[in-house]
Amino acid sequence: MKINLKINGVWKEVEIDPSDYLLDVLRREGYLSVKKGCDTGTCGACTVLRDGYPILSCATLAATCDGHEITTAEGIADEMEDYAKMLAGEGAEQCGFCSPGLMVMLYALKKEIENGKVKKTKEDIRRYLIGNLCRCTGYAGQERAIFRYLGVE
Amino acid sequence: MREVKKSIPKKDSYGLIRGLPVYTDDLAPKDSLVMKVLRSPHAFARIKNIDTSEAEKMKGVHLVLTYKNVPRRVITRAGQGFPEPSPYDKFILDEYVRYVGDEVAAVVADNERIAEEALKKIKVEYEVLEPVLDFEKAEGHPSIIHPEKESFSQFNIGRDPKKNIAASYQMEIGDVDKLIKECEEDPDCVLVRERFYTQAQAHVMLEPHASYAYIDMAGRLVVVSSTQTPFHVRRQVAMVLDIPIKNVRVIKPRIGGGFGGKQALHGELLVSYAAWKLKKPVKLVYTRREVFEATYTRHPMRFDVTLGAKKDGTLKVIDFNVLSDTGAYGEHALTVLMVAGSKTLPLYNKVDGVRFRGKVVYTNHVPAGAYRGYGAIQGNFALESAMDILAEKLGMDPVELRLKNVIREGETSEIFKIMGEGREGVEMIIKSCKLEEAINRAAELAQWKKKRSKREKRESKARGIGFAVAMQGSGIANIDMGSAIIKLNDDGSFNLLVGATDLGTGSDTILAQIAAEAIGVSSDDIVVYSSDTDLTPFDTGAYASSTTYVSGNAVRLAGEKMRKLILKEGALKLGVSENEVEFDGRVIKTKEGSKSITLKELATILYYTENQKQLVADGSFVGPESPPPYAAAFAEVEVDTETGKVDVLKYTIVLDIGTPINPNLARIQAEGGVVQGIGMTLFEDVKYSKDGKLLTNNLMYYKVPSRLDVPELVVEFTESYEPTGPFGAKSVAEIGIDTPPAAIANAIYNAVGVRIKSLPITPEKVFFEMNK
Amino acid sequence: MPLKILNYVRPSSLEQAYDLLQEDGAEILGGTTYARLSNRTIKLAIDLQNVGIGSIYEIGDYIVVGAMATLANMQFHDLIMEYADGYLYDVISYIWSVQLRNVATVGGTIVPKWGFSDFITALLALDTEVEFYKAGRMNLEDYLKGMMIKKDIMTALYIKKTPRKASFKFMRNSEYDFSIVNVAVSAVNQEGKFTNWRVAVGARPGVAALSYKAMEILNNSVDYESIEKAAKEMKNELKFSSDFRWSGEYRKEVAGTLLQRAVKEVIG
Repeated sequence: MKINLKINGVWKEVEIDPSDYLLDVLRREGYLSVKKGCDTGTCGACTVLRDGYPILSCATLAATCDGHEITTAEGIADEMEDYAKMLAGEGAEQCGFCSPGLMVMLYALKKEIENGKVKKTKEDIRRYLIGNLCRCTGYAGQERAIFRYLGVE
Repeated sequence: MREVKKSIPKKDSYGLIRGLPVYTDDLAPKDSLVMKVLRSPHAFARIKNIDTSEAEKMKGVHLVLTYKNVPRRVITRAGQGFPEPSPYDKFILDEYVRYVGDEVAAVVADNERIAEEALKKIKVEYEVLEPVLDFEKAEGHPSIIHPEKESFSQFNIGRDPKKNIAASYQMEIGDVDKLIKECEEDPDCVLVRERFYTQAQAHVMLEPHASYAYIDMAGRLVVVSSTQTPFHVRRQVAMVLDIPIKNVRVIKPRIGGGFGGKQALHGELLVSYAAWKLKKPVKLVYTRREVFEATYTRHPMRFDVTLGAKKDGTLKVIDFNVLSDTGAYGEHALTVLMVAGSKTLPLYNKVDGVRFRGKVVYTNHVPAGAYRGYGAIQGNFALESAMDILAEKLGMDPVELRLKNVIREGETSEIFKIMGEGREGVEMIIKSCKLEEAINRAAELAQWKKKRSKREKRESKARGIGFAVAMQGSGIANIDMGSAIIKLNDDGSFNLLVGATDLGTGSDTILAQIAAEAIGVSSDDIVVYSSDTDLTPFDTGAYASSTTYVSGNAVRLAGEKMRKLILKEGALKLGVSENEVEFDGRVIKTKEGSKSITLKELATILYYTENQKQLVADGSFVGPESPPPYAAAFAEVEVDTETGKVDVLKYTIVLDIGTPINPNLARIQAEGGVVQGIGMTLFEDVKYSKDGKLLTNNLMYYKVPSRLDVPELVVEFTESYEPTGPFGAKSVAEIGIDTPPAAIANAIYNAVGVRIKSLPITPEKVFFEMNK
Repeated sequence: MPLKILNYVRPSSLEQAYDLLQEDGAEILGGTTYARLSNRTIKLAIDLQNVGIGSIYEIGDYIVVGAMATLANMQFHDLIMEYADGYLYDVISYIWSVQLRNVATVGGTIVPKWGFSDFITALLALDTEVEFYKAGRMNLEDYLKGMMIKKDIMTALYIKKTPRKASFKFMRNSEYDFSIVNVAVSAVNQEGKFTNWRVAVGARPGVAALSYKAMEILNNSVDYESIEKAAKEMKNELKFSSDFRWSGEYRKEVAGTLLQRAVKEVIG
């Protein structure tokens, strides 16, 4: 079947199988920042935005996204340049496999903080990001960069 | 020092954070055929019949591999130097399947969907055999897991497959039985005898194992793989295909973590064989479930520990008797066992007697392999828990007990010479050791004295603090080899080519820093390319905490040579003798300052106008010894006395890693190691079904620590200078992981008086132990 | 081999969706988040995003939550944030991850009666009903106890705005996990006197159930002794069993503790 997705601001017609998950479709279409880490909705490496909200692309059928707007790390990387530098400054991207998904999540978090839906405290920020696993850093280095980026003491 | 001891960002950070296509699966050609593997549903079985005809008939299926149409060549997948200390006990595909997840057949098809459909059409008739699922009953079990006549070991590793023994080892210094007996009879002596268990932790690197292979324009085989050991992969692939090594090229792109799990071979042999046969690109990307069920785990172990000490705390004797479960195949069986002793027992080097004995048994479990801190973390849990028990028996402060007995700079341990990894070790006088300082500093940071004496208890919450020390190594002495090539470019920048394998740790970056320091230039001017067997010089790979120390030393040597070449060519250009010039990183000038030329000018001239030549320098290094880094750690915990739930509130660790080349990256290594250690201690439970199927086979059931499970981490380095290391550096990759099991177990005991001796320490275990 | 879907439709009315559902092999897409783990084949997958059952509003004494509202929609809705001091907001904020809560729907969570669900336990301690297109409205408890309703569409969740004070407690080892066991307790606060207690226990690992014995004891009196007794009786009344991760015995003991903590929190 054919579906229409607005990916990073550009409408695209994409041929899919009804069983396809959004993750596989995005990778097939060349959005390779979207990573398959666990395939069971846990690790967060496949996080993308649908209509502005972060979702697990490994647990979302592509067909259900027909007519919706999808944003991947490729679409926000320039806007998130300051954060990228802070994360690199801590050396906390490490293997990097979880980094694009985390960046997408942080982009969403920043908006939620601005909208007043998430409080700007370390505890609330951590809770918001719980679905993004990292096995390299033990999170501490990531969070030094994240808290600095969000201006949290 | 200008370029080392400096926190610069990782060289690959730009692409990694933005999500550029840099990992194996991202880079595979779009027209790659896809391989899928049919895996055994039985823990132990013989394939009586396998019919692939229906699968082969399917449109889009290119090849179906079974044991019948692949060469029967016995190998080890361990990914170690040659000759390997692991048994050759695995075939590409075999008539026998030895664990749930073992390879039965492989299908190559146009895409994943067809490949999966084809798998369903393969008809297999199994003769189901009685599996060996309890490693304590494996030795002498009626089921023999490796009855095949071809399997062997390159040298004596104490293997006895008829008894399901993959490897065994023993050593003794002094008469340990006699010392224990004396201690028993001596009223002035205290004896501790305890048994401990550790579990089969999974690595859970976020990138699943992936590889693809294709034929290049010269008809050679190119393998791209998320591997920690490209040169070992090349050797093994050549051997299995029976083609010369020169016809194989292995490239490691960026890889999404390894932690030892990508030291051994995974899909490379199957994709290589298929690509070679089909002359088409073939890729195999593991699912997460396959990573759990069909790669490798940490070796589960049982320890029987005996410690004897004088009432004044002088440790007299240590005895370790170990049983290790290597699962279906013997990758790293012997080496992991030996490290359980060689990287723990020398901590207490002043004993009169020490003995280490152990057997590694085959079972029908997922094979065990290399995993960060291998052997050491298991041994550390046993030794440092036992030391805590001993301290209590002695009525002594656990910190005082360690301070009285730990190894110090200028000392040695006989164990260094006797126990290496898989063979004899090397003599070593410890040239850098700030363990005592680390203990004192960590005790101060953790407020040990205050927290130990004043245990808090509020309603259902009890707090406690626990302590452990650890040591590791820096590469495998006399075995691990690294090399480097540095070439000057026409703008005065350099290419650093290293076989060393960056798994995400940042080793490319710290090697650039070492090169820059040695040449005397800025790291910004070093462009690194690594891990491509055609283009980079040899390196044994990223394991055993070797890259900074071993490969780093090779880079240092190459850098020093390059600096000499620059001085030589500069002097020639300036028309003076070499000893009259100096190089400040930018300009080569005569010492009295009258003549000068910038490196950039010199480079341009060298390549385009006069006396043209390529400046290139190389360096190779084999560690003559393996200087240990050390750690002292304190865990502060809060236990819910009504549920058994343990919260680690704060984890303080002070490490001696020599000179931290890049303090930020070193800190991240330590923090990441600690949190993996906490995971093994509290969360990462491994469960099998009664018939041997791994149940904890996804990230919903196998719990690695989330960011809300991580305590406040306090990490400091107590700097030492290791004279044999590059600019004083030792290793940092593994030392961080070793202490949490014992430190947390000791803290729980301190909080609620319950001693958990088997990992992981789940709330259920704590709860029932408290209510016994 | 993951879930296989042969055909996908997105009907624009409930009626149309219902008719399509009657076809052989047709299923509602709701819990696709967990479907990933299954290897069945769906001949016709029906996506309800356009049938107009995604909104959250008030009718009389009830908060009505459309079955296609996501857990995140529900969590941040003013009606939910206000009711019972934001009890459900808190409960939802501890469920798995933000990314999951943005795709998991209320219907997709309730309909399959997941045993591990925190959400169902939390709802069961309130006065809640579920509504199906044909089967109509029923108590959540009746739905959980009854047979699976096949070939029908859950349209909404009704939460009666009884002036309740509620507490939800769960036991997890890792914070990012399913609960080993969970307990939800609530009572109507009538001028400082707590009546009409509801006590639900879930992840036993079976789906949430009410403990009538505990409720009866608490309705009679709420003091140190009766709270302990309520926990004890609940442990006898409800069935706790083992799965491969945790033992039934452990679940039972912890449930008793959580019950006491929850009741104490409600009475303050």
